[in-house]
Amino acid sequence: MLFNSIEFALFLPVVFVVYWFVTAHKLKFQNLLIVISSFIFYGWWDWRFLFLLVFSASVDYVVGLGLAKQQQLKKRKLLLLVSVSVNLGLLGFFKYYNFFVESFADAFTFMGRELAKSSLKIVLPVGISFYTFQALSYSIDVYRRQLEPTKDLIAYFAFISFFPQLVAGPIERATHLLPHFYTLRTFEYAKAIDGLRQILWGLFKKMVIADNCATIVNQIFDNSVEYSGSTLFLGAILFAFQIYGDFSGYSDIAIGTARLFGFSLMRNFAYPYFSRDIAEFWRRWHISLSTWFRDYVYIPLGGSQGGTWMKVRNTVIIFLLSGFWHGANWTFIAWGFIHALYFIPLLIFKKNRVNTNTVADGKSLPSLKELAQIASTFLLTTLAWVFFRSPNIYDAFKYIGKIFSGSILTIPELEKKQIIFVPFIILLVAMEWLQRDKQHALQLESPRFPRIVKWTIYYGLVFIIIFYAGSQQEFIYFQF
Amino acid sequence: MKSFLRLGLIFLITLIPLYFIILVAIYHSGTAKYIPNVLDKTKNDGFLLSRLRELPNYKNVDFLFLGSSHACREFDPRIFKQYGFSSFNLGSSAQTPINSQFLFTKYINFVKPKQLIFEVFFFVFGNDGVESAIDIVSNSEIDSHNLSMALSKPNLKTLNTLSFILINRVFQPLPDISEHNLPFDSYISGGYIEKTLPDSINRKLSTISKKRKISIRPEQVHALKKIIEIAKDKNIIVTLVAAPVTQEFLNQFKNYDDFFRLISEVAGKAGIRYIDYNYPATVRFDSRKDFYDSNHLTQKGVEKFNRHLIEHFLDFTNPK
Repeated sequence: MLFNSIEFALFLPVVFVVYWFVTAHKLKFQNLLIVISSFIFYGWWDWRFLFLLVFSASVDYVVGLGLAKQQQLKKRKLLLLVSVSVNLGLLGFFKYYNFFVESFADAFTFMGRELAKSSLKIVLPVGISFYTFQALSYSIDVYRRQLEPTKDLIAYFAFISFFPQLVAGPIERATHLLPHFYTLRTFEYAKAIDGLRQILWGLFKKMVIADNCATIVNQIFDNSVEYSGSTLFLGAILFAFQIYGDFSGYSDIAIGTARLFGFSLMRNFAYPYFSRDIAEFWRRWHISLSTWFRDYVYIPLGGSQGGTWMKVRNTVIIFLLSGFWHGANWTFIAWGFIHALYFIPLLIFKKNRVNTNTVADGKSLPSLKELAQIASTFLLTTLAWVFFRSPNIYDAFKYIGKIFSGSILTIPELEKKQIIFVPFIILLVAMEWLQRDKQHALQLESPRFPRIVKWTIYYGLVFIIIFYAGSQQEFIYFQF
Repeated sequence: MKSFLRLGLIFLITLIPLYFIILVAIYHSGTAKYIPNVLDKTKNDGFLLSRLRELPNYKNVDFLFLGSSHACREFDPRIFKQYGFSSFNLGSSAQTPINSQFLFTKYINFVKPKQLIFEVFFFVFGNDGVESAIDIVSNSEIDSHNLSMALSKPNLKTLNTLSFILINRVFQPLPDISEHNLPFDSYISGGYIEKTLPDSINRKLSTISKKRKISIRPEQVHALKKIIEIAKDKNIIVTLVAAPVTQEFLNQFKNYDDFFRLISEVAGKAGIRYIDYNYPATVRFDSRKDFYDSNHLTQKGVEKFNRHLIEHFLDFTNPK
């Protein structure tokens, strides 16, 4: 079920009403309703993958109980190994099997020997990378004794399958989200209203910005040979907005929906395109994944302890893993590697924690220096997105090569009606700039925003969505 | 909770009249062309309005044509008439099997054709049918058939268009609207559109540089099967025909074989004929002379195609 679908528009109010009017007084019923509705939500794509979800979650549940009983370090390690192997094994099979087989065969072909590629037709279960990482966080936290394993099976399944964030995050830590399921949720007016606002803003980003950008981006990337450098450059910029609108839009809807049910999910995006350097960008982009890798990979590898080269090595590993997490293609690994290259100079010169505050804090406009920093960071991330979006590395290099050719100075070859939505990108940037110190751009608080102003904004956004939403596209991150 | 629900209700209730006020304002200001999700396709280059108006004059025809622009621009009733066949072309722009099923069900008892030629263009099997649904809704009276089609797959574009057309019809009833020929497109009696393109016009043959995969939606295949089933129930002979496209266009797709196999299988199971002018090439068409773009025939190409097809039919019915 897509967030931007009629089905979800009917599903959400029904679950909301049952949750607050039927199950409101009993915790077990609240959790049970979440499990049932989450299974319906997920099963809407393909009910067969529910078995996979249940299997993966059950293994971690049993491992958690085993860890609670077991005191011997060796046996505890073994139990953790079971959880890691099952989760990464499933992920590896469904997501990476063909990639490894094909890359292996390609490597032999490169060395002069032909190997038959026995790739399989494997359908990738929606959101597998998200829920396996969430399930892993449970086992690891229990292993580290940072979390008491739960015996409450319903609460545990509600945590794993919680529908707002099941298929595309934010990837929650068990230490943060699981305790929510131990206490009865009570309705909070302000939280629910703000949740609705965040959903509205997410829908605007997804349906108006991302879906409209997608049509042009697909056209440009699919025919890159035929376009000028300036059109390709515009295509790359539009992809930067597409992926931001798509993914942060999804996160906003997820967080907003969770708030309607009394939950507070972690923040996933914090206006990343206003970052002044790449290190700041990574503190603001897909925060739940970056912090997951930080907590479960970077720190165990030694983190920032040790010498410069140790830090560089760990950083490269994290960026490569992050790229590989996105998908079974060398383009994602290249994308991760490029970001590592951007990041390393900041790390070596100890400049990676310079910009930790809000940009232009207390001012309405950035200084020229800040503007130049924001523009150059945006440009660097945009060039890296070309690798992310291209079908292969060769095409990505060709695409970038053409951007840096003389044809960059021509007028982009797009029709006016194709770019009719561009003013809404300006609206997105303006709203997010004005609200950059808030959790989301539509966090409109009184008395700064009187009721009439707020309602005008709500109506305006609803009508922009109704009249200017692009053709419905799946969320990009569903494939990851 | 009470105030939350009250506010939500007020917001939704005020939203509906506001929506219609905006649509009326769009209609009167003539700004619909700047709003991508309000698509009024009345009087467009597909001439569906003229076609549906003319339809009551065609009863008990020998051939009924259904399908996308390849049908309405490539089956010329004048050529069929030369061979003694009466025919009507109910094809329309971007018409998918789902839309064809709707049109077929609505008009079958009226037109009562002896044979149905269903044009199968692989491209439309990957479409959701929204564009064609909007075309149909824009060019016919709003009735239960149209409403059920538009609402069967609710979508912002179709819902907006439906609402806009309701307003449109209040200010300008359908009988007051008339279609006119366009510079290169003329409506020909019997549902056909003739393209007359001067040689000086630059013809765009190839638009996509990378090989793509033909995607096929199961619901479109299901609709095709349903049409065959309905036709068989009414003793109408069905023939599936894939009209020719340029080799350059076909080469852009990786898996035409899969499409060919799928349609062959559907035809085989139903015991009907499937004639594909692209696979294997039955008759040669010249990309430069016989097409005005990558996949539509010029009038000269249509003559060649139609005559070959009719002779094939004659051979089949009167074998030598």
